[in-house]
Amino acid sequence: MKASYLGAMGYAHRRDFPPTWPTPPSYSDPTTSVQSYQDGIEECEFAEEMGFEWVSFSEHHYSGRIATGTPAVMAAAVAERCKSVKIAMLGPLLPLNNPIRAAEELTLLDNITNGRLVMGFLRGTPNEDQVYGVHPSEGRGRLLEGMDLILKAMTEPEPFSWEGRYYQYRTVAVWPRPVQQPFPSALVATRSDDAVQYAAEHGLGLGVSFVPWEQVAGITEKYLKWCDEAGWQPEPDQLVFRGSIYLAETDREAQDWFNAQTDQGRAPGMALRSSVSQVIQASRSGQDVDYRNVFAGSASGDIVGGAPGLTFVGGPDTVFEQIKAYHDQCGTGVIDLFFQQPSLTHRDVMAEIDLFGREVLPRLKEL
Amino acid sequence: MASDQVRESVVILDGSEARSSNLRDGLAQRWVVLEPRLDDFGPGAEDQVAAAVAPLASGPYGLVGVSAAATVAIRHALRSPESVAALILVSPMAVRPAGSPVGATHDLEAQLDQIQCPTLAVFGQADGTIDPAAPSIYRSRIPNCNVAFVYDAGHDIAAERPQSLLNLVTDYLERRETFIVQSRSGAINP
Repeated sequence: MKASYLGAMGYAHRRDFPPTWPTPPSYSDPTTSVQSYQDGIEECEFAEEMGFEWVSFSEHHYSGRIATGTPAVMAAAVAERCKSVKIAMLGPLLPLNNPIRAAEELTLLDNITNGRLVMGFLRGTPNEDQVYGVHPSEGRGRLLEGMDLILKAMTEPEPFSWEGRYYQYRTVAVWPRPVQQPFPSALVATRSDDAVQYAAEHGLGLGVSFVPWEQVAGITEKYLKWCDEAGWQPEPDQLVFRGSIYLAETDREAQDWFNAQTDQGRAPGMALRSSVSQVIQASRSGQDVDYRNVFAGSASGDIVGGAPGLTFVGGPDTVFEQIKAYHDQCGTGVIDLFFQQPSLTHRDVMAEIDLFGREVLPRLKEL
Repeated sequence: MASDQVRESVVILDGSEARSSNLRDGLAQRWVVLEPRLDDFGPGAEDQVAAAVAPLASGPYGLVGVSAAATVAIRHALRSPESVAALILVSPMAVRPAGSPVGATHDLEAQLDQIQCPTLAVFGQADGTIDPAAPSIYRSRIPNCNVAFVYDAGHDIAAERPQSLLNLVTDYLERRETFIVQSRSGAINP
C-alpha cells in the first residue's frame, strides 16, 4: 500500500477564519501567505523524504484552508522540488473548467515530471459550483463530457473539432503529447454510479473521499463488478482513498486534541450558509426551490452540512489499523492523507509527517 | 426568401432516407436539397449521382455523404470536382487503417489527396464501428479537411444528436473551413 500527501498549502492562520465559505480575501496577508506556501512545499518535500510515494493536489476555491485554486501551478512548483514522487492532480474540477485548458495543463505536467503525473477527474463540492458561474444541474453532464473530451484531446493525433452538449471547440490540437501513452494514469473521484461506471468502462481508476470504509466497500464492489464486465481488473494504485488524519504519539494524546477541537466548536473544514446550500443541492437534483422558505441566516452564517470529519485519529497503531481496514475491506492501494487540520501549525504537521513516516508508513508498505 | 431557382443546392447521399430526414428538413430551410436514390454504394454509383443531380442543381453544390454512402460521395467529388463546392462526410467508412478488421477499399484511401474541395469529416465520438485511427487519416490525407467529433453519438449521429449534426453541417456549408472562427458574440450585456 502507498501513501500520498495532500499538498493543501493551507494559510498559516486558517484557524482564525470564519466558519463559512468563502473566506474573505481580507484575511490573506501577503507575508503570511508567502510563508504558508513555502511551508506547504517543505511539507511535501519532507513527506517524500519520509517515504510517501505520491503528493496530491486538489482544486478548491476562495478559501485558505486548501489554498490551491489553480492546482496545476502548485503541482508544477512542487514537482521541481520533489523529484521522485508521483504528482497526483486529484484534481481539476472539470465542470468548472475549460476541459481543453485542463488537458493542456495535465499534459504539460506529465512532461515536466517526465511521466510522473496521476490525474483525477471530479465534480467538486457544492460550494465550488458558485465559483465560475456553472449551473449546478449541469455538473454531472459537464464532468462526463469533460472526461471524454480530455481523453480525446490527449490521444487524437490530428487537429479536430468537438461538438458537445456543453462544449464546442472547432480547433483542438493539444500540445505537448503526454509522456505516458496513450494518456497519463487517470482516475475518477466519485461516489456516483454513473461516474463509477464511466471509470470502469474506460479503464480508469477510482478515487473516493472522506467516507467510512463500509461505504467505500459498497462503491468499490460495484466498480470491480463493472471493471470485470469491461474485461479488466484495476491495479492497486487505481484504488485511491482520501481521508483526513490527526496522528499523535498515543491514542490518548490524539483523543485529547480531538476533544479540544470539538469543545472549541471548530469545524474541520468549510461550510455553507443553509440558504445557499439548499439552493445548490436542489439545483443539482433538478428541483425547484421555494425561496419563501429559505432564509439567509445570521451575518456570521448558519452552518449546515459542515465538512467531513476526521477519518483517521489516534496513535500509530490505531491509525495503521484504521487505514488497513480500507486496504483489507476495499482494496485501497493508495491512501491520500490530509494532515493540515485548521488548528495545526506547520511545525505540528511536520512532526506528524515524521511520526507517520517512522511508525505507520513502513507497515502500510508491507500490505 | 429567394426562390428555388437561385438557391444553392445540397445533395445528400444516404442509404437510409429516414435516417437523414431531420438533416434534410433542416437544410431545406436554406438550400434546395436533392437526394438521389442509390441502388448500391459500389464503384459506378457516383455516375448515377452525377446523372441524377446534373439537371436539377443550380451550380456547384454541397455534397453530404452518410455512412457507407460517404464512399460514393468521395468518388463523386473525385470524378466531378467542378460540381462539388464542399464535401461533408458523416460517419464515413471509406478508409481502413492498418489492422482494422472491417472497412472499405485501400485504393480510395490513396486518392484522398486528390479531393479538391473543402471537406468536413464528422464522427460520432462513441462510434464503435469505425476504427479510432480512421479520422486522422481523412484529416491528414485530404488537402483541406476538418474532422469533427460529435459527443454522445455513435454511428447514427443523425438519430442520436440530430440538432448538433444539423448545426454543424449548416455551419460548414455556409462558412466552409472558416467555420472554426467563432461567429457568435460572447457579450452578455453589450
